[in-house]
Amino acid sequence: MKLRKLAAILLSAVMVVSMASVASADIIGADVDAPNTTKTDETLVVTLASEPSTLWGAAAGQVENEAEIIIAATQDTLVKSDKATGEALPNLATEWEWLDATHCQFKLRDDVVMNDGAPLTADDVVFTANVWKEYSANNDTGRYIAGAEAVDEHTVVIEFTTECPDLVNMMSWSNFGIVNESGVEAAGGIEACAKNPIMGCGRYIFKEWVSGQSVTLERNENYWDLDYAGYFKTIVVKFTNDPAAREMAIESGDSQVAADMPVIQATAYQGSPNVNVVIYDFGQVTHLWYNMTEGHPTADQKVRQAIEKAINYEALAMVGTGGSATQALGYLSPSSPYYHELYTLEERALDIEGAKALLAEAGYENGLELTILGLQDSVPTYTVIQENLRAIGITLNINTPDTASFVGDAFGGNYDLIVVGEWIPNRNPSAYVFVSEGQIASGFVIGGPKVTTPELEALRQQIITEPDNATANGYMEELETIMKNDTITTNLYPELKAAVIAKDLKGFGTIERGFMDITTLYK
Amino acid sequence: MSGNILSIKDLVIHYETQEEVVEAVNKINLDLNKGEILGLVGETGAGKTTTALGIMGLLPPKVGHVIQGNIFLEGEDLLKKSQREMRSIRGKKISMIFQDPMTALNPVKTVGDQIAEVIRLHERCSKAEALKKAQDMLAMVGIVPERYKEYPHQFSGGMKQRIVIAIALACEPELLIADEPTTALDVTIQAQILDMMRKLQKDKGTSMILITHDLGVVAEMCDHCAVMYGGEIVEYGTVEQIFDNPKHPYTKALYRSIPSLDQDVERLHVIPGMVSDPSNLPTYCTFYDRCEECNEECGKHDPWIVDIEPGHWAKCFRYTPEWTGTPVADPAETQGEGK
Amino acid sequence: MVKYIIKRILLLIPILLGVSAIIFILKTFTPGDPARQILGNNATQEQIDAKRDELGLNDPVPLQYVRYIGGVVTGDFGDSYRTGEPVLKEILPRLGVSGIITLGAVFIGAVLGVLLGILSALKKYTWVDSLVLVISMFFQSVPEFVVGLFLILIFAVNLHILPANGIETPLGFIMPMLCVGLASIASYTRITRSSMLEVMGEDYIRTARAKGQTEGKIVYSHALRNAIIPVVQSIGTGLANSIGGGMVIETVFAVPGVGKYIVDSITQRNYPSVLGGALIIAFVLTIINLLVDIAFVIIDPRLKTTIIAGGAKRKKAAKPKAA
Repeated sequence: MKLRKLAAILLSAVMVVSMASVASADIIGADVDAPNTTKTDETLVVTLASEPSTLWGAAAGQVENEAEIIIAATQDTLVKSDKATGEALPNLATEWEWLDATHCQFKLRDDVVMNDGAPLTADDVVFTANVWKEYSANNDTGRYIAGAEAVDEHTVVIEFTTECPDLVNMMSWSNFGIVNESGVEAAGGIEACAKNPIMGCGRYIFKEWVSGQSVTLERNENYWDLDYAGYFKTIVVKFTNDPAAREMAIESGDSQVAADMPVIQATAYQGSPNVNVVIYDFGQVTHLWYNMTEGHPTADQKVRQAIEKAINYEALAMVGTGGSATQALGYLSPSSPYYHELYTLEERALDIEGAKALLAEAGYENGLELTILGLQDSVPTYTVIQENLRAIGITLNINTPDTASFVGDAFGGNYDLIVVGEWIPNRNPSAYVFVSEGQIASGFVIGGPKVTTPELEALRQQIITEPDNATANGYMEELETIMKNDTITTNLYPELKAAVIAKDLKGFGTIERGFMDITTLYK
Repeated sequence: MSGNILSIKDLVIHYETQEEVVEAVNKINLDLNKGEILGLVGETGAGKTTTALGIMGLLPPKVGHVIQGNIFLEGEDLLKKSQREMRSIRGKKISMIFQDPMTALNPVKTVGDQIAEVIRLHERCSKAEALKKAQDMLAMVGIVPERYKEYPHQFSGGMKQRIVIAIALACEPELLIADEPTTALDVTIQAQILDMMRKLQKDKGTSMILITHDLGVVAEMCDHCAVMYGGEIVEYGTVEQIFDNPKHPYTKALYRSIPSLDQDVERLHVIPGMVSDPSNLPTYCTFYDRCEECNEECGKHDPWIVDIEPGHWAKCFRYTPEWTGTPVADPAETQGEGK
Repeated sequence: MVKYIIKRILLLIPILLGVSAIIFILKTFTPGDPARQILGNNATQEQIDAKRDELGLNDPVPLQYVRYIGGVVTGDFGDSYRTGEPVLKEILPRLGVSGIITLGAVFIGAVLGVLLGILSALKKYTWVDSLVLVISMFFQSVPEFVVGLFLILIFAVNLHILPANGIETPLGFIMPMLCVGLASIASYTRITRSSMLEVMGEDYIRTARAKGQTEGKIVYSHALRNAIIPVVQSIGTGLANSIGGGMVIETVFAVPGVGKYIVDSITQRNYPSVLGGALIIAFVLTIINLLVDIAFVIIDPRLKTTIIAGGAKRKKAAKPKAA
């Protein structure tokens, strides 16, 4: 229709006029600026994609991205994680020591004041650990906690259900925030805390949650770590689903940070003079998994090798990250402390003839039909794979159901191919979950080959239980080499996260899984 | 002629659309004496209503155009008046009653408001006074004044026409144009309305143009009569002249189409053919194609006005000295005839 | 009149039952297990089964429906799977927010639409008419969220006079209203234009002209009140459209309204919230339609007689026959 066309042209013309400007945004990384040293009375407005259902995930038995971002600011953990090495560093606990395979004794700081004014004691850790165990038994927060016992006022022993030295590192995740019983009571009990999380001893203190609109935090002026300075007195977290609307809120000055932006969309804002685009890698690589259970053509390694040879990895990385990253040559990304570069570019070069030959050997000289399972937002990358595989005679059907069906299908192995990433920040019991015997048996793995070997499982156990990091790293390389040689998975590209921030902001930091740290920004 | 309230000179009105030009009124001349009633008779499409709208200055905007001529109301040319001046004339000096009382009233306003509206427009008075006067007007046309608060749909058709008349007469206009005021009404009501109009006209001394296709109404009400055909006045005279001595073949045909009780007629007389297409009028006599008394000359030239007797004229070659007689009509042309 | 209103209110019951049944059935056929939704991906099968029992999901669908309706009658729309709060408690404050936006939008849309429609009718077939058509079609063709982003760009990013999102200040309501309102202009303009053209050709307009009435007063006092009848009639539908448009727009502007609540609940498979939200909106819509019908009677006096006489509803009353 003529009118529609005219309207579209008009609109885009105005858009271009208002967007086109001389200066352009920089693309910057995360965790690069020096920490802030000054305190002001200013307010920071952060917009997230959606509103969390709880602000105390550990007690709600949930791990929600948006909730973790806020909880990380309001609750402090026993340890924190060194982003470069993945090692645990002192935080609320000054030191710790494994008494035996499953008991770890933590010494607590004696200068920490909880939000209700009470000092931090070992009993608080016991209380918190019981909450994890009781309310988060279904996820990583509570699954490995057997109990806790106070030794003295500032010494506590946590008992774990499984032998794994790196569980201490895992306790740097924000869901392991320490609270005290009196604080929880003051907030109205465990359930009320989900909406009114005034307990804890984090860098910021919860003030208000206007349902559907915003969460307001205020700087904790009694924060124990005197080296930390929060630049903003108040942080308001708002929820806007639409990425473009979030970006424009920054342009208009209503907000300063749009976290968790789709990477491809974030790169589009490079042209804007008022914002900086933060794009960063958080150690996770996305993998193409083959369903290796019987009945799937992908159970045949020759088919898997053929697929591996047919994929154009650079093109895929280009599409998947908006040109911000190149292909992954290891199971984890180079930013991970456990990175092993297992592939050469030669190995990853396109080999259509080789691929066809392998398919013919496998008995599929006339081609075959496969299904890839995924979510709607990844369709562009699946299309690249589809096109690559077409060249060797494989017809790839793209199946993108809604999220719940996707989870069901991914659990049940209802796919030939699936693209899922894995994040291994430390050697916790969930590392290499896709080849974990127990996890596969339980049926709760999203994707993966759905089969494993005793050899792989034995290696996993060694990785998890090995006290020495360097030795464990060797096991990890060994396991990843087996996965490479048996073509269990194909590494695609590092997954990136993106945020758009106001031009004058510095100090963009992250917590676990690349979630944004809202406490470190300054001007 | 100082006794004339209205005088129309050589009036030509065209309707112009992108596709065609309709010559709706073609060089008409009319005079109306003060206090008299002029009947304007003719078939649908003859240009009667257009003439009336032309006088009112209410021709459809953009489409209807006065091409030439003058319309003098008490010696002043209405066509030279501004919109604003015309607004002060409409409703005050000239009023008009439209054909269909069912649709002439605004359905969402009370009848009292609708009568009071015209009073307030032309007379300096308060709303209350105007409403009071509206009630008087209702009484005058024979409606219980208390019903001024009611809406048009609560009245019957005849009552509505009374209300329309009340609106038209509210400001005691000098000229009233009634465009087929009774066509849409039942016969019994027609007589009542006509009687009332006649009475009011006499009482107030209003001059009136009565547009109708009903010759009976003309005979009963009018002083003069003009017969319109194809945008022209084809015959004009006093009612007596026209009725006793019709001259134009069209007028005669009209008479023959009136049902009559004392004549034993199987079928009514029907004028053969159709009214000529006003967007494509012939250069010869417009009635030629349907005329039963024409000769070849009629198909070549446009006839001119011929005086029959003082104050009575017709636009027909028959009454010119050059007339050579009517040839025998061919059977095809007479097929439509009643006998 | 009272009898008519009571009759209309009683008619609401089957309508709402129908709406709830349809949504309920759709819900049962959507894939995905609510129990897993609540418990998370790591829950064991036993836990999921226990939860299904607790939620009554293992019962036959008709029984589930009857139980649900039983609750609804007593104001219990169930608890949100996500927060555990009663759905009604979550929706009521949001209903106010959506109500303000929807009414504001309908007001903006209707006022602008009617004005443009009148303008367009009075200047028919001129450049003004075409311009009005282009403007109204523009806002109708361009999706609301695009217009929304466009407005943010103008009023928040460039002019800095309105907040980009949120409703912390009343100013925050302006853009969402404008956005939804602008999208509805076209339909009001079109209806007003055609209705106005029709009315301006009516005999009673000629009567008013014959009275010597001014053109402005004729439009305002004679034509508009008649021409507005179909416009008022369309406001009922307009409201439904505006609520639909509001759903999208509330997400763009981060407005905590029912629309955003339902959209979020759908993505979270929070069925009690979706069901409750949809039912409450259906309820509000039917009530509004009733109010529109009543308003209609006030505007068009002809209807009062027909309705009281138990005649046809919501149709231009037949013109009374001549006596």
